[in-house]
Amino acid sequence: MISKAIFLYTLKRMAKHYVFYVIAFGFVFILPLTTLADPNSATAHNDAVSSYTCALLFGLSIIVSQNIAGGGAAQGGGSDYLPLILSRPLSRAQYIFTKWLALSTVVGGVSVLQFLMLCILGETVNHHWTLLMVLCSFVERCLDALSICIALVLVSLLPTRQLFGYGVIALEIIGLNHLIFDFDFYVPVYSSTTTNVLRHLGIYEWVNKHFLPLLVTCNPHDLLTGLNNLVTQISDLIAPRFFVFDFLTNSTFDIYPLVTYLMNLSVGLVLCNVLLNWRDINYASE
Amino acid sequence: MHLSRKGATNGIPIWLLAVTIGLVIFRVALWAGHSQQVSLKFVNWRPYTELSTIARAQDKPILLYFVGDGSPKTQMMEDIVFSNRMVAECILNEFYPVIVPGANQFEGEARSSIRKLYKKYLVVQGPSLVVVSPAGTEVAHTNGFKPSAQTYQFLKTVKDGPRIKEIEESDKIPEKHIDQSENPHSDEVEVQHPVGKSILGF
Amino acid sequence: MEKSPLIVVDTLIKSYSGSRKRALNGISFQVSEGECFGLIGPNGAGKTTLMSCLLALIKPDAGTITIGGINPDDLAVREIIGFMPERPSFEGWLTPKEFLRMHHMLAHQPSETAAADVEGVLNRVGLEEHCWNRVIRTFSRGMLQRLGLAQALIGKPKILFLDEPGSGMDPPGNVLLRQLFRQFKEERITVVLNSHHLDEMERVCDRVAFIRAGKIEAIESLEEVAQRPYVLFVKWLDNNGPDITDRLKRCAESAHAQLISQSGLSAKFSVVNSEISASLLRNLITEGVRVQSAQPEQTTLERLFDGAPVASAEGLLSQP
Repeated sequence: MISKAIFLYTLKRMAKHYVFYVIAFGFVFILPLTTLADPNSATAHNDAVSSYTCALLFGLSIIVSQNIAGGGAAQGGGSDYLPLILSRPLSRAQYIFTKWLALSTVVGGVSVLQFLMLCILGETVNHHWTLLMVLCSFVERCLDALSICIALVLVSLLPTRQLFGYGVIALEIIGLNHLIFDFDFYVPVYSSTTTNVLRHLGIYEWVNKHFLPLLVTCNPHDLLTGLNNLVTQISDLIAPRFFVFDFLTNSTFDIYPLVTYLMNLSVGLVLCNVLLNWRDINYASE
Repeated sequence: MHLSRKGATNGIPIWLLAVTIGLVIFRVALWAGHSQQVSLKFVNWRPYTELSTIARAQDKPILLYFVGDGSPKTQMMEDIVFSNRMVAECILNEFYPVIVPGANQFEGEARSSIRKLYKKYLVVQGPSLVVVSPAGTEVAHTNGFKPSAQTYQFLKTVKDGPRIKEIEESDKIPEKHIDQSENPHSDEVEVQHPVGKSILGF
Repeated sequence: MEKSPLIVVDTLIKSYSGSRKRALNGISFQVSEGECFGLIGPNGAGKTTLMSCLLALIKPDAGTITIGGINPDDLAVREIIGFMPERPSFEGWLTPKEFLRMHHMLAHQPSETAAADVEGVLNRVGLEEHCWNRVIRTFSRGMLQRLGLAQALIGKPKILFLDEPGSGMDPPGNVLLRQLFRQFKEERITVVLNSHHLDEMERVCDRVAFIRAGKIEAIESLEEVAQRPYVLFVKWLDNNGPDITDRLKRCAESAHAQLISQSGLSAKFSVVNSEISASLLRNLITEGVRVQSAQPEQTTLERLFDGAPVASAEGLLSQP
């Protein structure tokens, strides 16, 4: 089911752009180092370097940089590589699987390296991680990468650059949702986490009192909560998470989350196949 | 030249379709049973109206569990996180667990006071956990759903960290003794915590 | 040459959303194994759409295509075809060797022969050795065409789909192309060729299909087209005598041709076929006319595009 040529070529293409190394360096080394700022912070280590945020943002940066540099599946702009590839003895499903696995390998690899860095920095010791939690976290990072990369592959298969742009914006909104509401890191200048910093600066108050009421007449807090819930539900639909530690240690054995995760993965693959089979691959215009 | 078929390059693989349909059916079937499932109640959550009472005890920090309005993750929190023995033991042993429901299911003053609590601790999305000192000072918080491992790590780090002690020290206010003549139960000495009310925002 | 059809297209219809006109409007034809089949037609006729359908890159709305008796989207077909698009779009950051290695792997060729095959095909298309390790984005148009051809040949195909292979090629490149087409003929590789270079097609194609507005207006064998009436342009060295016009008329009449016009040391004759043309030239030489050159005024395929001249009817072309 996997095409060796496409797998190697995809990895090679990512490795060719220096931007990839810069971003990977940031995720693997810089972000974990921010957790050293306040080793007593209870939430910083969780949110600043969370598996989901890492996979989503890093994956997005890869597919956006690849499409800007040319070589995406979106047609136009001199980057129509698909016709040549799809004229080879390679099924479209094989192409999708291979792209997905290649992207997941890179995204998952960076995510795992980030976690390894956290372990080296002593985060797991300082914050009461058990051995089982550590092992499960490695697995969860790979699973999150697989799940998010399906969405990224789907977006990168969109037929025109315009649709690709919309897809990226949609994923960025999901990423922003996580960043604004989940992402917290320690700000030494304020001796506080980012949420509190925003409160000190009066930003929350401004948003609640002045910005949101301009949008609708309902309670601004309800609006914000509603929007957040909506985006969270969409992100769970697109890229669900499976918590290995919970699965293994829960008092009642519950297979429902695992089935949900697998189902969403396979639905995502089917959607990718549908998209690539539905569109006409035009190699030239007359 | 006559060629033998080796399989179409277009189209969705049959096995993928079969697996997807199977998983969808399986999930729907599981969901039907899942929605009937009653989650194990390891944590005995106290209502937020008892905050003042709890504050008087002053021997453990308070863990406020903000349920949120219409959050899809609340059920997961109860099914997964609070049903985890490790997490439940940590909560019961180290904190006073207090539940703050969503404001929209109430009317009038109750709604208003709950909203104030959400606003006070900047809770935008539920479910969220906020650890506060008995005086109501926030020590640490989570934003949104966190699985068992992260919740456990959060609780242990807060409880064992230096910040909670610093905040409790800075919150200390001398106790006031109430005039016994005004108290019909004269043999009791009622200790009133002057800032207990402020937790509820009244 | 075997006459069993390798490629069969039957009543192909395709229209694009948002367009009132059909891109393909009931196209049918067959291509035999080892044949070189040309597609010609004005811009927007549907040639590229037809090529895309043959490659199963787009799905027709109606009609069937079989290659070797099976659907063109089958793996078995993909293994034996090579495709060169009109405007090759390659990953600029790869070198030709890396690019061809990737396609060598994609074409399920054995990895042991990869290096030798890549160098062999690069030599075959005449890409100079100093370019083999240069990144593709530095290539000129002609070099890209050669690389595109190399990419089409790397999988040792039995069927080639070539869309404007000569576009952007320099004169040595065109000579090379002719040589390659001769080799394809010897190797019995079936070629479906789409080109605007009529002289190129004339040299290499066995049959051509003329497409206009999504329909095939005619399919002609080049041999047959050569037998159509045409204008022969004759030049001679000197007018050896005052009655040159009479002599020309006499020669034309006895060869069953017709003198159209004469000017200086050249004349135009209307001839029905090549036999008549040979007869006329024989007569002229016998009459003492020192013939310098004699060639059709238009190439064989150009006549298909010309609504004008001479005789006969079953014309491929009526006036548009």
